[in-house]
Amino acid sequence: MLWAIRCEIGAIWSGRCEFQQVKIYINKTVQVPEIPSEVEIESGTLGKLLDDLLRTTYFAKEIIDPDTGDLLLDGLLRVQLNGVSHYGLPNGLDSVLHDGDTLTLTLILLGGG
Amino acid sequence: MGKYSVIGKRVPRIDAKEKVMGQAKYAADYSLADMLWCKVARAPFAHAKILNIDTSKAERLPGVKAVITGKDFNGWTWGFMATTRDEPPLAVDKVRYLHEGVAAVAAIDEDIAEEACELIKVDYEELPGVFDPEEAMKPGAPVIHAYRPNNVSVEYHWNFGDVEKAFAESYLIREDRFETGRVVTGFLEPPASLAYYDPSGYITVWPAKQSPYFHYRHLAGCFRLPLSKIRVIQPYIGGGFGGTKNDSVAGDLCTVMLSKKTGKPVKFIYTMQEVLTTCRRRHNMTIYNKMGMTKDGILTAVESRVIGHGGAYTAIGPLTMFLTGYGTPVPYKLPNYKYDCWRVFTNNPVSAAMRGHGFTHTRFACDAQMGMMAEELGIDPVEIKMRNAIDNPKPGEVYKAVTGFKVKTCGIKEALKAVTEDTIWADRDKMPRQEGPVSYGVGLSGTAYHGGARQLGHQSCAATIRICEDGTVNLITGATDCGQGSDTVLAMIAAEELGVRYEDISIKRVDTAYTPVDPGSYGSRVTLLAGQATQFAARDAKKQLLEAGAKAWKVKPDDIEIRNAVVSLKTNPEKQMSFEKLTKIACYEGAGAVILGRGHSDYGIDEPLDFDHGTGEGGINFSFTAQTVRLGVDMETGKIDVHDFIIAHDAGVPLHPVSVESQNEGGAIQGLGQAIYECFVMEKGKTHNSTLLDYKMPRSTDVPDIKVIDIITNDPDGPFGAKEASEGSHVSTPPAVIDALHSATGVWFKELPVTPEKIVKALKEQGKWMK
Repeated sequence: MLWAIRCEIGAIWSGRCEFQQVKIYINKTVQVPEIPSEVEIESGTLGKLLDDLLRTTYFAKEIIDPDTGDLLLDGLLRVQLNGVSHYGLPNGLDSVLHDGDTLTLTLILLGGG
Repeated sequence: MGKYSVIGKRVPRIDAKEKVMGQAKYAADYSLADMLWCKVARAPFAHAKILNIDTSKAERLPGVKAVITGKDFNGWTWGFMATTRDEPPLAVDKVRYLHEGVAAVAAIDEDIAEEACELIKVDYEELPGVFDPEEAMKPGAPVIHAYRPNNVSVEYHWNFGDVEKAFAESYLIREDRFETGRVVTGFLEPPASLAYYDPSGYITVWPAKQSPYFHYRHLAGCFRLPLSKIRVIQPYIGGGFGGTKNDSVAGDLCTVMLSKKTGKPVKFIYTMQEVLTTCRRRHNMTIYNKMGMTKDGILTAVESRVIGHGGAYTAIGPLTMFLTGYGTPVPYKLPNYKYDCWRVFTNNPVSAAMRGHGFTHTRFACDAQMGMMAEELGIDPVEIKMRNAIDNPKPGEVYKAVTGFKVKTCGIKEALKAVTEDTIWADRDKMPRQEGPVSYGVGLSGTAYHGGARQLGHQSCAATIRICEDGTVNLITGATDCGQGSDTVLAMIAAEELGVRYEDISIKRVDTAYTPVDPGSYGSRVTLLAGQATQFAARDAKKQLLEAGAKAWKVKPDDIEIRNAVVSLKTNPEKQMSFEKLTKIACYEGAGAVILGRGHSDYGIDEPLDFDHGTGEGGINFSFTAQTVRLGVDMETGKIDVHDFIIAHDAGVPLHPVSVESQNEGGAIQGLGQAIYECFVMEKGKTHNSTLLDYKMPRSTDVPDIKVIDIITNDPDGPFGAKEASEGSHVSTPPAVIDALHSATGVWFKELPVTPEKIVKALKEQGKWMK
């Protein structure tokens, strides 16, 4: 199903799907130098984009499980796609990104004065 | 207030007897059989590479059971948020401040543990240090963290309105440099903890924490255990004030690691010297403030450039720098605002939060500068504040600050009116101005503070009410009373909502195995958020009781009321039964029931904080404080005697007037320390005044007469209309003292603390010194 939708976005050549470049806007509530305010990527999933954005940051060790290599977001980052938390998205981190989507990364504060 | 049975009454504190009788047990009072003692070995350099650590001699010392180094923690680091977790429990590759922990020992007594620390041989390569933030920002300065090669820990650049245009159109512009002091919280109880790592994989700790659930998460992360296997049992807490007790310290994590290694319980207690040389301290800040006004003294713009002295690690610094800028648009209407800040790493001990978090720096600068501009414009200092003060919004309306946050109630004008009508201000010209070498002055301030700190769902909190069948009540929350009196207030809220007597409520201290998760005591949040959770839990329990009563009396639940532990029929008040009887009916009739009420806070956050852009709502509501100070200055010696504080504080509705008064008094006295007494004396990372004898805090004999006036605004977002009480008077005191010093000496002092040496120097420079 997802494949079919994505093929509608792209051009179809001899039964093969070609993906479009999509622009994703990124809002952050705190500066992270490695994460730009927008990216152009081949259409993919929210999880893939997060992986690409976060795995190379200076704080990568905080968000990558040392045993499984998976992203750990709980208690570290609130992730929203177009204002909806990834927990509330039908496909969660597997949600397919579309041109013009906005990803919002809110750092979770574990502490207070 | 007459409509309430408990709220607003001057009841004794719920823990007063235990504390007065010496029965309250603090972390240091706990012990277990076969317990070991932990001591931390500390570095003799402020900045050095660790080449090698040899613990063999220490391990061979009789009585030593285990020695650990930073490598035992497998690279785990902690901090306030994912992007800034840069602090290890013990230094691994290099030390970044003097006396940073490098190893820890568990031994059968404290003396042996200390002796073993001295036997640990560490090879260092000393590195050049940097101790001044402005030096640390220069190219080529020693780099403290590789991930921040410019030594800037965090920086924000906010711009609201059109500051340049506003300055261009201003009648008067002032630019001044202010500096706040490097100070410590001053709790009486040092950090301490007893820890036991059960061989089956459970951790139990009894630590001195004002936010025990942070420590709970730190332990789970550090030891890679699920939260369900971490148990934090909260002892009584001997003061907090933010910073150290809202965080973990090396000793907290080392005791658990040493317990894991030895299979025995391990305890540590920091000495006061360790507190004063290694624990969290307030950021001292350099504030370059530019303020514009019209000819009539109306504020046109403020531009603040702030450099925060961060010390060796990030800790909670990102929030400190946010709050430092966040507080500038209150309590005065500010149409244009620019804020640039840099928190800078240095080889000094770590800076973090403290009472009056952030606000205290910029409110001091702005309030003092407003006084200077009033003088230049020839406008009365009260009048200039009143012209700019935010009006109290009408019910249902809000005042929206230039940065976007909303104010629903504001008592600043009423507070300014109250303190200036009091005789200390009103009759100031009738009092002697000069007696011998002593010159007297009266000063005024008007400030604000934010309460009910909350961000996202992660800082929610809950309460449970359990009705006992004898008519008494257990209140169970995850909130921590670290001395501020919140247990008393929460018990009062429960009693009021249930309709029982205050003395029928028993509140349980935090035990993370049983109590609901709670963020902790900071940001003046407990009364507001845990208070609301308690209110909801009590309503839930009461609903169940009323249903049982209605069934017994064959009426509707709404027909019944409970007040002062007496249950009656609204239409026939003669028909009564005791609350105890109602609980027995509810618990025993039919199949029986256990009456449990539960609630959680739901005060929403319209918009989360955006650190980079300066927007968002950091909490629930704002308190407002006006204060006058009367003092005398010896114009020969510079000695200051402070005689009177008049504090008018808008706490919404004072739920427990005794606590509101004592919190205002305590906050103001702590603020007085920062205004004229306290400051760490530092040289190349070394704290010279590392005892409480040398680090001068106000003593009881230094405390002035204090009068607290309640300003009632009845906020729609606080339980029973409440707002914070405590941090507000801490923020209002330094600018009021500065204004009074100017009144007495004619000198505007811009650097805290204003010590006698600074006064004499300034008097000499201005030809006012009386020899």
